[in-house]
Amino acid sequence: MTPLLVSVGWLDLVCTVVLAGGYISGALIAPPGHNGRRAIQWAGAVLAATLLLELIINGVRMAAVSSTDGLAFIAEIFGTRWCQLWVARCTGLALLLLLRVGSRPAAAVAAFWLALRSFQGHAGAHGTFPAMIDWVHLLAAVSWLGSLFQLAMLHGAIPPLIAQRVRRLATISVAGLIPAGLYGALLHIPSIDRLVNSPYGRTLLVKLTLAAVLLGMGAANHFRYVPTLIRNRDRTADQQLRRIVGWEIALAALLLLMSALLGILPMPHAMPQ
Amino acid sequence: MQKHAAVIILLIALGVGLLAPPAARAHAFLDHADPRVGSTVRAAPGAVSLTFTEPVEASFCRIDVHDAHGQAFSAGVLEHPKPEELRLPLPVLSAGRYTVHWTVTSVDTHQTEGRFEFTVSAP
Repeated sequence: MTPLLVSVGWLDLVCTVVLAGGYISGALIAPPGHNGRRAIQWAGAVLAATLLLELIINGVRMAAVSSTDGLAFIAEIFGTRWCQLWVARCTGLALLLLLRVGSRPAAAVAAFWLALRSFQGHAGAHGTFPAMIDWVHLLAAVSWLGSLFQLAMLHGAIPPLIAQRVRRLATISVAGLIPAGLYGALLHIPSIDRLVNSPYGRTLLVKLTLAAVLLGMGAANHFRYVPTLIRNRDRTADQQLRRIVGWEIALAALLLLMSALLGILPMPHAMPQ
Repeated sequence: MQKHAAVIILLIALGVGLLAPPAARAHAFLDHADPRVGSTVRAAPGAVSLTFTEPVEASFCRIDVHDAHGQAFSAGVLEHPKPEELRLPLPVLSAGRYTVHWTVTSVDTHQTEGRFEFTVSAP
């Protein structure tokens, strides 16, 4: 079940980034092109299937510890907090897909829709404040990676104005991403010992390493490739930027896999009394 | 070249996902219990209370109490006085060693299980 859970969690995250990031990028950067729009629609469809799969998997797992069956079991499942948030996520997804990509209200709905995911996961189980911080982390990551993805989806030469807007959004996102991520890491792993000696801690270290490389690439974009594109406006600068954005997206996919793994690994804990 | 590398990374990502270690999928761990884990109590407790590290879904939780011979006690209905606490009323226990086995589902649907023992020195 674990590999399936990780894979489903990863798909959920990737689709969430493409979908919500597409709406946010569409409102704050520029409306997506044909490819970008199709990617958003595909992400919505795959996410709908993934959400259904998540419900089935959780239903199977919960059936193992439930004393009821049939309609009573279904009523119990839908009475759980996770399932109520699942229904809200599905409703939000349907609403999002009805809204026009590129509009500010759609971007606002996408941003608030992300909060449901934060409340549904680990952070939500810890309380309202950790869930809100997790939402900031998720919103920042989705805005950054989603806008990068839309940049890669652009057909033809990247307009310097769009590259500049993506750079600005990425910088703002990183400013929210790092403190919120640090809060989450310290909440779940309060000591160095637990960071090094637990599967959760070691996975987090891998994620942090990937994040550091990704930030380095982002810095290269910010200080080198985007200014070069703005200054030169030539094919070479465009290709250089596209190349690094492609690497960033591939690395982000690996990073999201680590996030999916963290979503199911047990957090290190003290011995009971 | 760059496209190939990106595809390879994505395949590795999916591969790692499929080959992930069979870890416990849980986050509600036992924080403390009454009677305490491994303790010896003089008087037989009227109930066993378990407090977890995060809120649990009571409908998908189970607590079983067994004596030293493995005989299960069919006690009362599982109570849920606080989001992170479960309480199982017990019949009058005689002196002896008892094992509490718990299986819980946290509100983020992760499941954990564990066991601990306590001893009643006098009924």
